[in-house]
Amino acid sequence: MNRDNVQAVPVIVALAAAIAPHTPALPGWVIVWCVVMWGYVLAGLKTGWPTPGPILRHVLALAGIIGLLITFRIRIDADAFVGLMAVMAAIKPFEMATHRHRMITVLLTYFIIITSLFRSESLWIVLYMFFSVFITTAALVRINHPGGRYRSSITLSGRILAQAIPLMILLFLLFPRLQHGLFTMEAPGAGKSGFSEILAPGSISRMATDQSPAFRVAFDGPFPPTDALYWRGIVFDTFNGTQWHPAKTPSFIVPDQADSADLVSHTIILEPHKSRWLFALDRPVIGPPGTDITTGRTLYSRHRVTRKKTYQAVSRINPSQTDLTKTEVQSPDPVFTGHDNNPEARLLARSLTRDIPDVSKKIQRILTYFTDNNFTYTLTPPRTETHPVDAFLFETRQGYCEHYAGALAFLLNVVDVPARVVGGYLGGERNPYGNYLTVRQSFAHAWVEVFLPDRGWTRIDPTLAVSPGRLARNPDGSFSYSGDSPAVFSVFKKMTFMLEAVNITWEAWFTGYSFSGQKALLRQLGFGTSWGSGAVSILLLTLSGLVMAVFFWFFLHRFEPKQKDPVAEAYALFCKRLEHIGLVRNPGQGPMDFLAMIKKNRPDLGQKAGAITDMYIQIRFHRTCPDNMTRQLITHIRQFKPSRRAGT
Amino acid sequence: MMTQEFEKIVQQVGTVVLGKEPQIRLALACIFARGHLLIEDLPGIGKTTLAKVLARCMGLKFQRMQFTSDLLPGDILGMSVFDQHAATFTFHPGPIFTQVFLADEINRATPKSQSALLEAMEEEQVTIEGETRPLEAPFFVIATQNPLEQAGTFPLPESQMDRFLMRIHLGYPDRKAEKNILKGTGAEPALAAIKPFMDTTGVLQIQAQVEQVHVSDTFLAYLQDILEFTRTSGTFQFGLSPRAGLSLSRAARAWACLHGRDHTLPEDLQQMLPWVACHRLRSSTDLGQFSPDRLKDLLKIIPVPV
Repeated sequence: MNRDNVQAVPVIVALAAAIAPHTPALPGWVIVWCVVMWGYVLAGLKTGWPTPGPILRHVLALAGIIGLLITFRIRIDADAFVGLMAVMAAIKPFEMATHRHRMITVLLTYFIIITSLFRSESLWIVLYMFFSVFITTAALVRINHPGGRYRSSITLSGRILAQAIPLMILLFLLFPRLQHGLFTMEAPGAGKSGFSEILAPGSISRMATDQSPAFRVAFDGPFPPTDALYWRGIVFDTFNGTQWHPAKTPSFIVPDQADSADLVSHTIILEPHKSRWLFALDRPVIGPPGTDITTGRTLYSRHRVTRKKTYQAVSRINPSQTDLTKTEVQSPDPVFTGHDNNPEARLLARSLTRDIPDVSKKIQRILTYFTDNNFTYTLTPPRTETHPVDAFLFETRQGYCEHYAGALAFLLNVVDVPARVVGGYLGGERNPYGNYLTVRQSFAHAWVEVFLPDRGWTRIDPTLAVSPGRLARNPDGSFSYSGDSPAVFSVFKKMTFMLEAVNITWEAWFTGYSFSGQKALLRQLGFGTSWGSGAVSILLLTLSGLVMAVFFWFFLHRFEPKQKDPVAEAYALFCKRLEHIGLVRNPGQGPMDFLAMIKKNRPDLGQKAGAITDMYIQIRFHRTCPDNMTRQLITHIRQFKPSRRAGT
Repeated sequence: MMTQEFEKIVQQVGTVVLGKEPQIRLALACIFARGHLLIEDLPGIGKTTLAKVLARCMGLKFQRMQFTSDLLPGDILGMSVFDQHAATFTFHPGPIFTQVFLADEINRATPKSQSALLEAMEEEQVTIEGETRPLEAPFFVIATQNPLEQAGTFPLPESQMDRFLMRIHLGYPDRKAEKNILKGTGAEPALAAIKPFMDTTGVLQIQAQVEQVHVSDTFLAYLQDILEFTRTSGTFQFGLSPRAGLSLSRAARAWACLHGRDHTLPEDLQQMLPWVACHRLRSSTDLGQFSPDRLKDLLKIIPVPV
């Protein structure tokens, strides 16, 4: 390997730093692949192993692509794309013999750094990206000034970054943003679905051990009481004998203007769950722009949530009949429960409520059935077969919230009390530093709503009848927020809370700063009140276009390609050939001095080198020279192949 | 001029000024480049001898003048004196009306006298009492300066130093040369033994030949790179002026010519630079003079265009 390979080191470091954040998503063999390839190049600096030739490089590239195809099959998503990038970046150092290749690689490294945002927009990732850009810039400085000290490359890189920061902030704040991104890239790792759209035994309890956050909530005012922390997501109002479903196509209502006192305004940062349900405190009355309110009083986004979504909602925590629209005031039909499924449960419901005309009393009677018959609350309920309600009521008597809610709603509808199941989350863990709640997947919950003629749809949570403690304690054992002071937690827990709080504040600002955020800022700056936002966008686009044009102009003139000079090229080749045999021309050395040096060290080359130098001097320094002299010089230099050892 | 002839002169002068071949070459180059020479050194090193022997070798007239603090411009340039017989003023030319003029210890004279000399050097003519009298070509001034004794002297300002094409140091002779000096009977007999190699016309011919030496674009690019470096590197308080650039080019052409070439090479410039540029440059850090060796080191980092 020649000494140019030393220059591959900073590039490899930059590449490794840029790809590092993707490590969790990369298949194991890709990581090994990267380590092996880079290790080979680095070890080659010491051992002098040969650089793979073009054929081997193509074979490697092909092997990498085939490996990716096997790993990802036809799933061409962001993960596959990042994998391809890593595979190619690993073998790129094999072809970095020329400056041009190194430059291209470093510039591509900047691109790889940006892809970290696909993974996460957390503060830590963004801070790491700054570090990574810093390393890459240092590599860029390094390959352009290979002789200098590492320290000066690093200092210059830092200075360039520091100078770029004001421009970065300006562009972040003012570069025109589109209402919905130009192209949307699904966040990799968002494959984890949140709430299932089928409610059947097991559909919620499978989430009971998942500690990942579903969303985080900050309240504009004081926190609502613990027993109001029902996060409404999906209303299941059809039953097919074994499972509850939401309506196939949701229909929407225009809610009346909310004006009563017990409104709670809150901001939610929802993790991507790939469906369109948005969660909000039960019962939402005003949703964010871009969402509708379904007849089931849930928020329904117009787009699937594939990226972290921040939105604001207003809910009424003590709903009453006055909230209902005119059509809702009339008692709806009970949910059709089928004819012959769960026969024992049907018999039970009818026998329990026989001779009880009052709806509230019917409900009360059925609820007491749960409390009186040794039902237990468990995170790991046994699986049940064809008649799930029958099996639960009479055989297992162990269940998670979906069992109780599903069974209660079934029983009520059988006795003509309209009831539906609502899916969402219950509770929340308060971060004492950030003053917000974290709602985890394990807090998933299901409850029942019944229609009372005098109150409208009313929440009944049968789980509480069996396990009253669920309200105060989350399923993972953490307390709901009330009454907890930071002193209770261990140091580790405190640190976790603190770091999470910092990150959340950042993300709320960073991901929340979008089209509307920019509009608000511009309004504060005095734009946009009299002009349309379109005009501002056009103005900004024009401005940034101008800035780009100026940069481009400078760029073009800065790097104007030098006129090709065959004589200079030929003489450079002459010097390079001599360099290989250890006769290095000092840049400050004139042609005669160089010739003298050659003659002194290698008398055997004197004649040929002398002839070449003569021709070169004639072309360069004489008043006139024969026309074919350049041609002749090039021929002579091409044929000039000095051997390493002095000939005779 | 052929290299052999040049070498003969160097050899000849070397029989009188012992062990100073490099300085002799530089002094000759300076003459043929139509420049003036400043020698900075201690007394008793052989400055006067060098000037004398150069003049003799080339068959030129020679005058020497010791500069003192009471020297007046008239003493150098000459003056009109009333002639009682003819009842007219007749001009009595001063010592400057010669071909090789040695101004010994130039920094002892007052600035007024110094500038009288410097004007004559620049314009090769003298204007006295409204009448302009040309000096005889070739006109060559060798000025000496004692760098150590500063009391009662008027050191030449930088702008005046610029009038000298080169500044050289003679330095002590080496041991062998000094032994020969001590053994010998003094410079005078040796000087007397020297026969002129050429005459005024010969010198003028060589000077014209120097003018004809070709300066190529590549050479100029290198020269400009050097000038640019002195102006932008921050090593120097001030960069070299265009006049200095012109001087460099002239010196390099003379050097090329003396080596039998009709074209300049980067090496000519490298040889000439320390002697042509040093007295025009000041270090930006201590404002002191720049030694020729330091300048040679800097040349290593200015790439020669290929």
